[in-house]
Amino acid sequence: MERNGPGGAPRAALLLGLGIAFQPLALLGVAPVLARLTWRAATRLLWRLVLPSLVVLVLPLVAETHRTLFVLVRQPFQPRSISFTPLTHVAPAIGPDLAGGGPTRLVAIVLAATLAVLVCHRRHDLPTVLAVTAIVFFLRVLLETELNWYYLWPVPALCLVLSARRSTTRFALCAAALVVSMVLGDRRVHQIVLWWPALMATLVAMLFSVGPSPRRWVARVSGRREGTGPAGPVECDVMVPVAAVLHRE
Amino acid sequence: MKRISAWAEERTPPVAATIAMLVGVMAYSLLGHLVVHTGGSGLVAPGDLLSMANSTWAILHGQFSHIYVRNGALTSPPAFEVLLVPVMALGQQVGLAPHLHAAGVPLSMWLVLGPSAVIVASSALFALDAVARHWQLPERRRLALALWAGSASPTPSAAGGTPRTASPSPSSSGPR
Repeated sequence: MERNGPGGAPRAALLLGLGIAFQPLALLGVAPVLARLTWRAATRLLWRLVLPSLVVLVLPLVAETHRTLFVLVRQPFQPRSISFTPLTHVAPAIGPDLAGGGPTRLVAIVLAATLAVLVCHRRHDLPTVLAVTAIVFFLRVLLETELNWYYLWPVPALCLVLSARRSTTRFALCAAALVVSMVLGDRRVHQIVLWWPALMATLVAMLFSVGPSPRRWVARVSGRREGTGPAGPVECDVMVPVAAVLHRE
Repeated sequence: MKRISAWAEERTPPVAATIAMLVGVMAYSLLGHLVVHTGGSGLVAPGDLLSMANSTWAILHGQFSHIYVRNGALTSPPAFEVLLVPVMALGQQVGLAPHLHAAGVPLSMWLVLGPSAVIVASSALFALDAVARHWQLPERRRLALALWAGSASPTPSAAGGTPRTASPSPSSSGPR
């Protein structure tokens, strides 16, 4: 869509649909990518998002409808096998030694889609779309009821490419935060008082590595508050529109 | 052939990172038990992947009611499992691990499963590199990006992070 504009939307929607069939987390990328379209145009693409998943789900749905729907909707996990998060106790018990991660994931998807539409409907250049996608993946991690390190991966991956574009220093900062997050994250932790905030801090550091410098951030947000506003959009300064959206709400 | 080599040449950074991932993941999974105490022997591989391989096995043998199993790792639509069907079929044809549920570690099947998983995971590196190429980033920075993203990608992380000795039983797998 970066190259072809809205004309590339059908292909992008099909690719997103394929991604969803492999890993429904790809849903988080739908709103940032398609937000530039009108509601009507986006609705017309809906079948492309759904079709690949339906194709691979037909057989298990026919053979074992109840279990298939149970797994897809409830997203069961075994708390003893994973790292806890502050929300682990919120996950509903859905069986012996089994909790459901579905509800908070649904909340994350709704919040992420709302934020992405608010930002990307007007600003849909590639750096903005990727940065918003990184932020919504971060939101998802924040709202998880269970944690394996690889849940974090989309955030560093997107931040690495965005920071590589800005400068070597930013890339190095992002890479360093990634190393710390890998060291912290590659283990199963149930005492999370220090561990979880530290892990989230590494993600925040990665996100900061792709945003404007702290001084510019403060200047821009305070400028908006005083009604003067920034002179014009600066590519990749997506944290500023996100902050503005949050401030407005 | 020329087309393939031109394609690969244009994408040298993710190709190099994929090869590095392949070597690293396979070496660690086969030899990792020598350096990491996993409570078992033989194969250090992500339990999630082996659980998904069981779902693939069910698809391959027409046991569609066993694609989603209790305590299985699969909680998404089974596209990855469908993609692995030809790989498992090939493995079965050449006599690798006759059945994942058989006693012992499915070491031989891992020889095709592991590389397949790495190659599927590497598609994300190619996507990142496509963005980097679009932005005309220098080759060295693209290589650094691919290597860093590859080193942190889910496959090596799952194989080399929280080590789980491979177990053929689906119930031993962790959740996703």
